[in-house]
Amino acid sequence: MRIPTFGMYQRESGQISQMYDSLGKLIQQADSGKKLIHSSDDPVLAHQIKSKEDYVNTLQSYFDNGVLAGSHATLFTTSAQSAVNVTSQIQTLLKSAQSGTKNDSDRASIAEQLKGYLSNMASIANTQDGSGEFIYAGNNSDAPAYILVNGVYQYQGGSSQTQVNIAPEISTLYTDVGSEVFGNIYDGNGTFTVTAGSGNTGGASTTPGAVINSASYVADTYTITFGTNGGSLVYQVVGATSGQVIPALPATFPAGAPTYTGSSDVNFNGISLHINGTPSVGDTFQIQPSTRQDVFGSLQNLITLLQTPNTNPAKLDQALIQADASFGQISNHLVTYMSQAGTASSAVKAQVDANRDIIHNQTITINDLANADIGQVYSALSQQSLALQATIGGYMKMQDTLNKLLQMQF
Amino acid sequence: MSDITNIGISGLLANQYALTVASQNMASANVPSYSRRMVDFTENSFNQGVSVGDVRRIVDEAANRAALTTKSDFSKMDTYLQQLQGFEPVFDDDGTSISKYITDSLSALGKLNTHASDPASRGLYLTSLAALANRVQNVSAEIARQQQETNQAVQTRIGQINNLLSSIANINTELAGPLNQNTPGLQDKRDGKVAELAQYFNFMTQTDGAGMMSVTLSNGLALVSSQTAATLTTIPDPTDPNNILIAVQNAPGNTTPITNFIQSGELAGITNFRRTVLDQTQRSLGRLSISIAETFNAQNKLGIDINGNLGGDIFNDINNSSAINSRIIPNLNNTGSGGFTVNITTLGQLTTSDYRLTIGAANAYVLTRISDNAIMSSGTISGSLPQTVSADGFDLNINSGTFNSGDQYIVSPTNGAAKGLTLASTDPGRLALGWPVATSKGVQAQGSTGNIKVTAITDTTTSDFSVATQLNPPIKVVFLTATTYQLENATTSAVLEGPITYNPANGTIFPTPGSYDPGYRVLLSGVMQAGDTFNIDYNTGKGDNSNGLEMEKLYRTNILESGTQTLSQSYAALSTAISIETNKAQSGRDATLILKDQAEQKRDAISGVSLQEETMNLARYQQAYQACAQILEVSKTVLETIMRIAG
Repeated sequence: MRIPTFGMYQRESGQISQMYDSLGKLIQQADSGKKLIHSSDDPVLAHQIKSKEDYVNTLQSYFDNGVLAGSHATLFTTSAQSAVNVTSQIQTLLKSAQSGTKNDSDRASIAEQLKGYLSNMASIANTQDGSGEFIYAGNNSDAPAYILVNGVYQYQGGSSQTQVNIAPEISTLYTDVGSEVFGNIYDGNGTFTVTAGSGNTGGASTTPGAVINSASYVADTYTITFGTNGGSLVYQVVGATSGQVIPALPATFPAGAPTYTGSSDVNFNGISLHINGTPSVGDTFQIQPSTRQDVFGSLQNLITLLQTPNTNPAKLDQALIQADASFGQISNHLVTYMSQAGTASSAVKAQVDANRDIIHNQTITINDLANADIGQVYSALSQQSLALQATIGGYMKMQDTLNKLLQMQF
Repeated sequence: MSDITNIGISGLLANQYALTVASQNMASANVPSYSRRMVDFTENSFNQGVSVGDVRRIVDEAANRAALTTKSDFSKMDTYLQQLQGFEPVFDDDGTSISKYITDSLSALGKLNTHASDPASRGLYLTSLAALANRVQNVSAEIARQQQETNQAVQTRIGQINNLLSSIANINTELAGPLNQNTPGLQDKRDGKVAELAQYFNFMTQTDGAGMMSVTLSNGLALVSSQTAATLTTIPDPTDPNNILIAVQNAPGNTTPITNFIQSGELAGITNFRRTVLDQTQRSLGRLSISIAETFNAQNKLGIDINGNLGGDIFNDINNSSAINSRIIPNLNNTGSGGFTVNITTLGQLTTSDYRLTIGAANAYVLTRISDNAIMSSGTISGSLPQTVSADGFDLNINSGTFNSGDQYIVSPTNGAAKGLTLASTDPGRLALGWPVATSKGVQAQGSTGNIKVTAITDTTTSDFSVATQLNPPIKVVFLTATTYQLENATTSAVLEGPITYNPANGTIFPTPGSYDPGYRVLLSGVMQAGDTFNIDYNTGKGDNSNGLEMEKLYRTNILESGTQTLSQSYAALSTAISIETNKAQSGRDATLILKDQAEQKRDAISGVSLQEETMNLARYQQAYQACAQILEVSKTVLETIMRIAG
């Protein structure tokens, strides 16, 4: 085959420039540390890298949200802890107020202490996060959850919780509804309350009572009335809708009524109640289904009760026993909430850790995919430059041969 | 005696000429179009020495043709690749890719959802959306600029082609002159022009007996026919005012479009790039823009803004009056005057193709999808307008006008969408992050663990939302027994519907058994007691992020391609398509380069000059020349000897 000179040189120089090209590519790889200079170098790999990077970026924003949600979860746990502590202080004071040796002024000073706890509790309910959001104000988190209106703490937060996403399809509590945390708690023993009649003059009071047989419990407003029958104290229990329960019909009151023997249990419709002391004839106790209280209302009622001068120790006793029962319910509620918050908090932290791990692992994968193997690049680099030198050497040789040919003497 | 002298002289002359030819070959070694010459010596009759019979141009037509064709093919791929390589970085750069702007806005939204009422966070999210819109616009503008550039590139090349065509015709004319017949130099020059022409487009050449070369297009249209050259020009594309077509100027005002017959060369590379890459990318980007705008607008309308009002559009409405008019492009040659609008109806069905509406006789119409030529709809335009034709997620509304047989319209649902992606409101307060409905517990009887919550907002155009910042009516759910409830108007206490059976396993209230659907969904759960009440009212909570969380979901929702692509994925598909095309073009270019090199080598092996060979020839002719001189010397000596004898 004839090899034309022009083509020969052209081909040779084409080869050299091609080698420079691939050398240049290797140098770029070595410079940037990246395998791909353009996506078109390997579109499939580039797509893989990009979609992984997108995923990591998305997770990163979830990760940031998770950290914020985690700090909220911690706030929920610590504030619930404080609320539980304050409640137990209140319960201690309440116990001491119940002591028979306390007089009106002792109770008034206890009331003053309780006022301090009231504002403590309010500031707990109005806990703010770092950016000034009220964490117990639900979806109205810009304003305090509880404000004082005419001396009464009222909930003015939102009626629903807000959530934030901490992973795709996983959201967690971000602000809670204060009225569900600090309110919506049954008073009394959780099922019913017992109050002394306003006209009571005797010295009897009752325990908070309990439902001993929930199957036969009938929710109703019952009135226990004391009367006499042949000089002995008897009692009657009438339900607002159940009608007379004790004595069982057709017995009548007071003729057929059971005798009150002092410090005895009264049992009816699944309810058991212990009455202490001696009531007067005509004294009544009312048993009502529990209604919902909030911490602030109950505490404020207690303060009012302790500030009011005592006229009938038995009635005061009855009221304090009920308050004690109610705060028992509040304490239970807050402890439950605290443990739930603790669980939620560790769940959020676990998710944050999981996100961190995924981000970490995906980043490693991306680096594996995207980064050039520097060792390989350098060895290829030296191979290529060697080959380039060889080609240039060949080119020189070719010129040399031609020169020699031209210098030949004929 | 004179014989020897004559032989010597003829050999001297012939070899001198051969030396000239060899020198000419050597001197022209670096002229690409030069075909080497070869001297044919012929013996003169009656032992009268030798003479140069012919100087041949060593040319092989087949090899030449192969070199031209492969050159066209290579030029096409090379230009295509160059254009793509300039285009790819627009989508490839991590810092400026649209997908980064999408992720950035998601991240801003995530932060905003932790403090929905914060003006700064709202502002940041809106700014991130503005940046996204801005980037889409920039990319769209860059595509439009490159579309313009391809027009200019075509026009510049047309000028050069016209030069070459007339040069070829001129050389034909010169060759036709009586003195220049069979002049190798002119033929070489013409071959050079033809080779240059092959860089721009593909054609066929034919040389007739008189040495006239004709250049014809692949469809047989003559561009150079003996001594006359056609003039190429560009004309506006009747189907797309932004595009140009290549045409042959027959007479002033009379042109024949030839774009479709140019399948190779730089011109094909450029028009290909425009048609398969630029136009397609612009449409894909348009569809992405429409999807972004409509998805976020629809969600924002389901929420309430910072002032408690129902949300409006974040981006400009996709079906605004200018958009619906810009989606139909009448053919410049139409004689009728149809008035059309195009409304986008379903994002999931939207394709990235354009559609062709052809009017036939008697108001018949056919709507064809251009990407695969599938007929979408055909029928007759009725006398009573407006008439709506639905296809692939859009409605073509035929509103008015006259329709003549042969009229054509391009229906382009994505036209101008990327350019038009702009924020409708720059007020961060207008971001509707909360839900317009809030629920609360009313009376809870003992033993009740009932709960209520809003689970979804489906439609805020119902009459329930007809009064600003109020529910019309606010609703109270009243439990009549533990398992039945009724819905009351909370203001008037009028019973709306009931009793309705409560199912604790699925306590969604709406739509009710009586088919009342207020446009929101509320879920009851837990154990209910008679007397329990729940309130459903307008939301006044400023910190509500419920709709914001729904917006976050949009980023993961499969919206496009019949619900198989998220917005990000749609962008990734678009940019990956370009990378793949670039990659393909790279290997296509490499392959055509090899073919071109091979064909050139083959041609050069036949026609190219080898300096080594010519050096040897030179030496050979030189020696022959010296030998012939020796003959003369001998003849002189012989003559002198005879003279001496005679003398």
